[in-house]
Amino acid sequence: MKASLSIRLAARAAARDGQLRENLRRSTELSLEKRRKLVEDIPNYSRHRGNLAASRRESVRRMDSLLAEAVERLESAGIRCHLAGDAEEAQRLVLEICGDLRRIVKGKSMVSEEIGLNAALEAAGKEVVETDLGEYIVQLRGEAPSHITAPALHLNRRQIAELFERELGMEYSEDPETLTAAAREHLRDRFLKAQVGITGANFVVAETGTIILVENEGNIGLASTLPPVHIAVTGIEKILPRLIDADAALRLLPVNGTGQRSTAYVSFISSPAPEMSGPQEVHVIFLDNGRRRLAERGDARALACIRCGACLNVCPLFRRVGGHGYGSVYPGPIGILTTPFLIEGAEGHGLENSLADACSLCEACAEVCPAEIPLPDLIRGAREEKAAAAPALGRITWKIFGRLCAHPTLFRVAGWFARRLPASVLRGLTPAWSLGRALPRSSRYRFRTLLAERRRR
Amino acid sequence: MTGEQAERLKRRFRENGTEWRQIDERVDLTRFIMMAKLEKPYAHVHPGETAFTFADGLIVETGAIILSGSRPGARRAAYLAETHFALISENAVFETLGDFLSLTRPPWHKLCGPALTLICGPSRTADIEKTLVMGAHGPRRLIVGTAPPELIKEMLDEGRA
Amino acid sequence: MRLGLFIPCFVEQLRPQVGLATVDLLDRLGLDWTYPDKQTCCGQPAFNAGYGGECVHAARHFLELFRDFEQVVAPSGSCVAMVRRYVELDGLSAGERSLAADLAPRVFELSEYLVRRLGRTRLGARLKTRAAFQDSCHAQRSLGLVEEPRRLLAEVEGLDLVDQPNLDCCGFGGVYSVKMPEFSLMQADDRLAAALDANCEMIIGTEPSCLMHLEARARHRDLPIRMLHIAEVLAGERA
Repeated sequence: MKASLSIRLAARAAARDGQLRENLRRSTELSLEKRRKLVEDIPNYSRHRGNLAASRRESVRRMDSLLAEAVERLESAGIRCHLAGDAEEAQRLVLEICGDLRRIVKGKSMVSEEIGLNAALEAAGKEVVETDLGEYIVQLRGEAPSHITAPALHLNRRQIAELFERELGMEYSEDPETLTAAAREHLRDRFLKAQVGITGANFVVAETGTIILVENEGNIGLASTLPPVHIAVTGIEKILPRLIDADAALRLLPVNGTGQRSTAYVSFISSPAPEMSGPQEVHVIFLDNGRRRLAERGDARALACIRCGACLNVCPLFRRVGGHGYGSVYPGPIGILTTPFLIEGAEGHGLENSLADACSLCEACAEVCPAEIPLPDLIRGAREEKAAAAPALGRITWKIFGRLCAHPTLFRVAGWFARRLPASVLRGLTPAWSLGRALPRSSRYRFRTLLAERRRR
Repeated sequence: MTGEQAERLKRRFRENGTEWRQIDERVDLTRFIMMAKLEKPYAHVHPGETAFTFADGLIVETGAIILSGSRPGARRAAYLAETHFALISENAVFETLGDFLSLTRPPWHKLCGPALTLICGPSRTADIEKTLVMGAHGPRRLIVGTAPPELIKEMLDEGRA
Repeated sequence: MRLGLFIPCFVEQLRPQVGLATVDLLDRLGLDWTYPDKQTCCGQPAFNAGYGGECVHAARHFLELFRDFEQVVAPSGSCVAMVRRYVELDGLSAGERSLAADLAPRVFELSEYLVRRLGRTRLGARLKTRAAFQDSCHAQRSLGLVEEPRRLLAEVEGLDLVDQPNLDCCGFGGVYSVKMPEFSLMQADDRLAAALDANCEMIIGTEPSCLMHLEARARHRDLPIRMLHIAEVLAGERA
């Protein structure tokens, strides 16, 4: 099904689902409120944003050379690096690294969702448990996460209480503290027995060969410290040139992602740590999976994304339909641009079928994006791509429009006809308008006629 | 640490949920360590227990403590414990993360060790209806003690003796 | 001072009162304005739909028509935002691009013109009602106009203006309203509900397309709320 139709159906369902809409509204509003306060409070916020945007532009521009630099640094410290061209290769690499090891704990990683890692691991007989509370919840429900930083954003406490009662056999409670404590207890054991910890990486620093991981719960710390093997999977566009670039990145990611000044934990990982009760082996898998193609055929500026999710929180569509409506692990404005390249089989795959129409060009996303990605312009650019492949009728209509704009007399004539079309015809021409809106009353006289009339008097 | 920095740090700690004990006297230092109920630091921490670690510094802007991975067992302890006591020299203060990242001495690799962690308070989650809950997988409480470096050195020397 | 007047195409056809109100205001301020009769459309619908190549025709026409005016004013932020972007369009000649760059800083949205160029906020208007202010996406974000319309409305006698910042886009978005109607309607309904919940009888805004969209939805649902353009308020009842 075409992506545009699919998201419209999701919107219809959402319009009837008061609970979902309320969950989404409350969660996004709270994140935005906290973000607003911090943006006002942080001195020189726009300077930091400028710095981040500059270093991310460099990350994208020098993607290949930074990758080489990072790999060299990491390997010299004993971290094994692997390059995966696509999802399948990444899955294969993870399985190779795991070998016979079966018990896996996972920290939240968008890239791992992108490549369908869990399914591949389970198919190979591995035991994989998501440890981020939100991801744990959606994993129990057998769903995909619905937001980049808040996977269970679409659920309320009652739904989670019912889930935990059913799946964990605990006494029914809607209290978030009780529910969290239950998850903590259930997962403790898994952490201690785990043989492999798989995480993403928020950033990798080329200059020093450092993996940076950001979190609040401590599950990523546990997953990257306790098991003897730690695997970090990340995209090739996530490499920052210098250590100092992490300053702006680590200031802006929490503010825009979760409305915090800083997350509870920031880890800088340099090497394995067998003597320091850390992992014996650390691996990084750098994933392409369409990123290079995006840089060439799409717009490379979209690769500057730091996965904060702020654009989702402000998007009028995301706020009403949630992540599932987009049919991709990357929803919202950034997802419109990246999905066609990164997600095979998702609704928006392929530029001709992208969700570029799922945008009112309100520009709220560009206003908040910490990496200064010109999202609305890129979405408009994606529309240009679609337009080039559009059916003839559409292209001809706009051609006519363009010509009319340059010929005042023809323009007036067209207006004259349009004003005289009976309402029933107009409604027939634009059914999508009339299902819910009155036809704008066209005035008896045009402005210029009234103006001329006024001048005569 | 200046008085002004201490004021700001106090505010940040309060926002983060970090408890702070400013230690001036030897007796207070002893009490702090006794609270951690450990005979020696870096004991292998089992979950549900209290951990005591030294930490390498503080960042005023965010209220983060800096825990170098060069300290054996500290990283593990900091994640697994129920309550984490961290003792820091009151002079090891950085205004911002940028200041810390710009350090040239000791060189980054030496300071970082295999892994360096910035800790801004107890572990937490807001994944259920954006309601903040403390103590997700990591510690429920973070208690920071800052003391004059001479006092800490004195304690360590006696410990070795 | 040669001031050109640009009237958005659907104001021309659907809501000429906004144009007449604009003219009244300019007259009242003693400005020497001209309405070039051959104007058509700024081309925005094509540009936003991904047909920048067709927008170029509209751009050329606009540039030619308005090139010699010292300033141009339009009662629409989105049209002005479009004109200021002509310089980015593919397909313009070097000369046309240079003309576009030259014209861009001389084209103003109405409240922008009144407040920033003329330094006027008190225009002697009166409107006794409780109304919500509608920030249009283009005015806010492309033109940075947040304070100016509010300052103008603050001087309107009897007006109880309810500020509701941080609301989502009204849902018009040009062809978006017919391509994503489900979202468009939800957005319109949310905006209308916010105004009605605050006991407003009216929504006042600077963008004719937002107001037209909200009005079309309000009329369909028979909601007791009217939309008024800021020009109609400022040129309306005298204090």
